[in-house]
Amino acid sequence: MSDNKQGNFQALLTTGLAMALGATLMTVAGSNEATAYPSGAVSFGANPVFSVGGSVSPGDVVTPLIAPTGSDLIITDVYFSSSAVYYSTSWHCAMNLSFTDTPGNVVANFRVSGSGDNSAPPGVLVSESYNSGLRISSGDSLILTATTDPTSGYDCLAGAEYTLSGYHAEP
Amino acid sequence: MSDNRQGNYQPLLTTGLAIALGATLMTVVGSNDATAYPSGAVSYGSNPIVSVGGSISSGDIISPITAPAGSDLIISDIFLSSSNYLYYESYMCGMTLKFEDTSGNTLAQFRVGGGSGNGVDIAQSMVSGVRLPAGETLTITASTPSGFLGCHSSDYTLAGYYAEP
Repeated sequence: MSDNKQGNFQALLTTGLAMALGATLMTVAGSNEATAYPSGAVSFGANPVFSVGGSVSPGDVVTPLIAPTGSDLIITDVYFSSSAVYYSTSWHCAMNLSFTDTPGNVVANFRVSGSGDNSAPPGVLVSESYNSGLRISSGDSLILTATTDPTSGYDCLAGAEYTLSGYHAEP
Repeated sequence: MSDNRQGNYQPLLTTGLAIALGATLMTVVGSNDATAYPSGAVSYGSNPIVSVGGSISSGDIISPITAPAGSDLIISDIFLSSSNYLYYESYMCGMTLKFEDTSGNTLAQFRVGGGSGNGVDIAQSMVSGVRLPAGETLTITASTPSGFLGCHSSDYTLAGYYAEP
């Protein structure tokens, strides 16, 4: 083979190998599978998904979640039911629900409302699913405080049910 | 075979093998089919999707599903229909539905209700979900919250997938 032809082969060979290598690298180190939580941020040693539920009424201060040492909590799903003063009244009530962490940072604020009579506007509930979520730092607690909204003339005596869902993540 | 011809075959063979290797690797570890569950956390040996449905009335305690030994159950979708009071339908009724595992942990809590016009139902598709640990049974308890009339009944559907504990 002439030096010219050998040079062509070498170029082709190099190109082919480079393409194969590129394809392989793209496949191996390319985008990951979709997961419900960012798997790169999770190393919990067990399934990291958690959830908790309960109910709160105006004046309540509850601690539904504590982030364990060495693991943050990311709350991705928040549900609060609507509420009411009483089943047979058309009075409308509103209740604020505040999420704070142990150092006192306000992590999130919600409001639910409702009445017990269909002659009044329907109640408002909260049903949120976040792309990022609400983070409770390792070792901190989530404190949920329920208060009657200042603009509401009545307390939501029927309270509200809640569900919080999320996953443990690396701090 | 002459050295010259052998020299021609070697680069061709090397190139062919490299391409075959790349193609094989691409096929073996290439992109997977889209799934509704996080496949990285699932190793169930069969399709991991599960769903169950039924009806529940105030005062009922039911156990609609059990997570098998060796697999957690992640409930990602919850539907609870609105309900109503049988007689005074201009009044709002309420029903609390508490989800607990066998250990007594409250995993989730919802409220449905309704009257003649303003029903409240729940259609919750979660990013994370409600996790029922391996070997535990989900219990749903239906009760009437304070301040409400009792509801007649609510239909439910739960969907999710089995996952590694």
